[in-house]
Amino acid sequence: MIFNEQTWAELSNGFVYSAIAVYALAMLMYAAETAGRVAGADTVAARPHARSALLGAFGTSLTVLAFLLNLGGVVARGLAASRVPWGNMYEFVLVCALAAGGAYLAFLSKRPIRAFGVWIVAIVLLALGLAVTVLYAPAGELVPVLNSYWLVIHVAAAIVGGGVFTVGAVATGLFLVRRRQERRMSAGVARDRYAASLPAAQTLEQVAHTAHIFAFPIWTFAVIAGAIWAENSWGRYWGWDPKETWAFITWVFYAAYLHAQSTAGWRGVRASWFALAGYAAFLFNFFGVNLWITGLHSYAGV
Amino acid sequence: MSSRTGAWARRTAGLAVLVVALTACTADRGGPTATDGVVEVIADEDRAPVKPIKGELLDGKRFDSSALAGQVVVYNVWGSWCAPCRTEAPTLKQVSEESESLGVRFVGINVRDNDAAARAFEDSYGIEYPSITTGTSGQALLAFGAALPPSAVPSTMVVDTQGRLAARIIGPADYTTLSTLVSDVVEEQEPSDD
Amino acid sequence: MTETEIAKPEETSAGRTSTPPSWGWLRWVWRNLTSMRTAVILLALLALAAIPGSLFPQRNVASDPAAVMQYTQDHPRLAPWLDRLGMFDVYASPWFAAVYVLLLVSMTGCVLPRSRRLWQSVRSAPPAAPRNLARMEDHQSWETADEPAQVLATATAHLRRKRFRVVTEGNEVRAERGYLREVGNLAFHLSLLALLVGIAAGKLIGFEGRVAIAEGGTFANDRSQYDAFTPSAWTDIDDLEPLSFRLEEFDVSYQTSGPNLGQPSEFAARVAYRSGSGEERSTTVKPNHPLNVNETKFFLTGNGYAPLVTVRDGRGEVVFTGPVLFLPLDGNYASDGVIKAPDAQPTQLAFEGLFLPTADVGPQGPYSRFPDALDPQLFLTAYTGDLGLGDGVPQSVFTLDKDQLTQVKVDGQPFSQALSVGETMRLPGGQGTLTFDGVSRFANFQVAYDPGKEITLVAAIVMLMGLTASLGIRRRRIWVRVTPADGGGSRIEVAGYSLTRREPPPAEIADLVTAIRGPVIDASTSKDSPA
Repeated sequence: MIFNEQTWAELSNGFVYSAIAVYALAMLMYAAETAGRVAGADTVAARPHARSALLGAFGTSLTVLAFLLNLGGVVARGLAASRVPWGNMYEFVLVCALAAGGAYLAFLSKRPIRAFGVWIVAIVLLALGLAVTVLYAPAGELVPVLNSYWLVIHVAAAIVGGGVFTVGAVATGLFLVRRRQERRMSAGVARDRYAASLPAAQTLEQVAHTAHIFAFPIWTFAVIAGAIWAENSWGRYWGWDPKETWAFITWVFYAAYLHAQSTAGWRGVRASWFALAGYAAFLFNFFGVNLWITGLHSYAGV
Repeated sequence: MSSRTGAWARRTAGLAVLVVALTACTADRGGPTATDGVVEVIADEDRAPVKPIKGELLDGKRFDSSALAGQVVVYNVWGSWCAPCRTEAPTLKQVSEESESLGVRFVGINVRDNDAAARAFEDSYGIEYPSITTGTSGQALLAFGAALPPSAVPSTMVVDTQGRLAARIIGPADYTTLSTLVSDVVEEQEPSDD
Repeated sequence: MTETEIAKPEETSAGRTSTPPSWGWLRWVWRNLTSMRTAVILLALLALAAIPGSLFPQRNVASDPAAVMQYTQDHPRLAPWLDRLGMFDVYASPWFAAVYVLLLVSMTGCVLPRSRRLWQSVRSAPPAAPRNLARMEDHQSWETADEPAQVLATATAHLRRKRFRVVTEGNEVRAERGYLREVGNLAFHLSLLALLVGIAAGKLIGFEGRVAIAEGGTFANDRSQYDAFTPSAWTDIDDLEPLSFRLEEFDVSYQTSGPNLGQPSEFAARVAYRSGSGEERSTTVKPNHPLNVNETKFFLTGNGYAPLVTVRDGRGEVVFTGPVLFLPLDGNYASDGVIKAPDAQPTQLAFEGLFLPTADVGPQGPYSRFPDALDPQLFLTAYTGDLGLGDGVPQSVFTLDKDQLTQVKVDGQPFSQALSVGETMRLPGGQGTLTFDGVSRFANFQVAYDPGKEITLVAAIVMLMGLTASLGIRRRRIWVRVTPADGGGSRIEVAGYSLTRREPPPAEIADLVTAIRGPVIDASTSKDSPA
């Protein structure tokens, strides 16, 4: 069998669709695990139910498999187009889903955060679903202005940063849920069984913090690399193009988060809202700016 | 897929629209130069030499400023598309004819134009003095270097007998100003000439 | 200011001093301005303030310079109010400047005292161990028969090897590591200031310009030659790089098959340029590959068609010949433009219309099917009369002032004609002719000179390194205390303390304990967990 561009492109699509199917299964497993955990959650601590733990492990295995399929889809896509596979929005979402899945698995190997699984997988599924339905673009050449090695550097950094920010955002969201529950519990108010099944707020906050301080320099690098590319391509390194503006807004919100984390009275809950605002800005930059706002980055293509 | 090329084209269009806003008027829209020229006379001790100017003329001959050494030369930057150039054209024609007997030479520097349109312009206004073509005027403009007026078309430069910039008018020239400038520069040289 | 546990100004400098009361409120303002809380609020404000600039069209933003004009036309009542609020120029507006200037002041006010404290802490030895070590993190204690001096020496050697700063004082070893974290933090914040210096230098000394040149056209780096020129406050316009160039050819290729049909695959401008009075050299300018002559850079940012036409007037004289820039309207480069012949006689002539690189006629009228010039046609109508150039008022070369122009008509219908290359349009009554000689292209160059960008780049790199250090390095202390044991020998206590939110590397204390005790694990170890 001879692999030409066409077969690579078809193979890539096959991988992506399989990844979606396996991620869907993984989500089912994780959902079942969560349900089991919630049912078994008692007021003191989440004691993993044996069957529920098995489902969770199964969900993780499926997530690994789906991640590998996603990776295969990305690689095949690159071979089909003979370039880095992040030249248009479809590919960009594909790679970002990969990064988010990868970041989750990497964190999972160090911390007990399987409770994130159902959310991460849901986000990844949503992204991949959107990619194949709305954003799909056939593999092809780059428009001339994208033809630069800065595409590799700048976009790759933005994607990795985005993947880790996603884990950070999920951790932050769950932290807020869990934290509220812990407060209420100490006040003797009715408890939320889902929240009770989550890891301790302190653990969640630590994971969120680690993810953010890991992703923030990467994001900073992505912005700087983008500025260098812009200088190389348009003659100015910063021009308040909407994409640049929202990258800046994202950066500033995360900077506010990091500062709030070391401000008495803001640490924890208040700081978390800044992190979520940063993630919202990141998402808007990713989808909103590409789809609704015309700017120099518009050719990134839908 | 067409949106991709579309964006490129939109951008081009966008940039070009700005071109629209300014092409016609780099010289003219930007402030006071639009209707009245800004006059600047340079004191003898402050004058800087103008580099040699070479180029092709609209009538096909070659121009070399070294052939005009020792004469007062008036250079005028113009284009047939430039509206203020039309208002000053009769002035330039009149002053060039009146000062010819004093040994003053006029040379046009045609910019951002096409030769046919430039010749038609000279024809309409009865301009007799030569003009360097758009195709070769780039070097002429650079020859003025630091002396060239910053904002453009039209602008008129008076070069003294020692090849130094003596005065400039940025924007359209009017008769009284230009003839006074020219005769002043001619007269200041006379003691040394005679 | 980023993430650290060292005392904040609001926590340290509190407390009234004996300063006269008139200074009291100033101190209060300063303390609050430089507090971390204020910094966080200002950061949030900065993010929010940046948003409108991405939603409303902006002046001086490259993507579409006409956008503000367009928006004003579309929203005639709203636009003036938005303009008053600075919404069309957000990033140069006073309120945006107010936020970032306050932020910078706040940051500087916070960082400079910290630099001083860092300097002091670098010069001073690690602090003494707290009296009750058992309260610290990772506290461990055990008894040994070893001499106290030997234990202290072993611990010192081990910690030194692990690149701690170590002091042995009496019966305890004090060690600290991770000073670079603070250095990185300061480097990050101070380089932000340097970054602004670089930006300011560019804004004050550099310039930006734009010029569209048709194939065969020339350009000299003189302000008169620019279509648009944005100098800075201190740009030395008389000292522009003495450079001239000619656009020899503009090559474009489009994908003619496959899923991305019509997508451009290459833009390349072949230019011959000369710097000063040097030799003429050739180069190709492409997207991402600017022409760079002593830091004045020419970037290829756009292109379009420039049909070649010849206009003859009523006398048969050639009054115009050459390329005319037509501005693209859509992705297939349907373009519009005008041709003016103000010196035509007996009457001035003007033409207006469309250029279609691959012409076709659909239900909506003529349109272009493909961006490449496969079947180029000009669709023109003609005007006679007065172009209005004679009264000295500048006008755009892309529009006609029709006040004193009359459209040429035949039988009451506007006279119009579609021309292929080589064809001639003859105006009725022998008023003139226009011949479509051929097709050339124009390229749009963005020209930039930014002497501050190296400063900005260096600042950005330092900023990134400082940030990584300040987030990645963990500053922590370790103490070892040896006291005589009740039954002879010594009692050893080891404890650590993290000065940052993140836990210290987990094996650090364990390694130290192993180093002191030797590799054998003694079952009598009592491990105290921190309270």
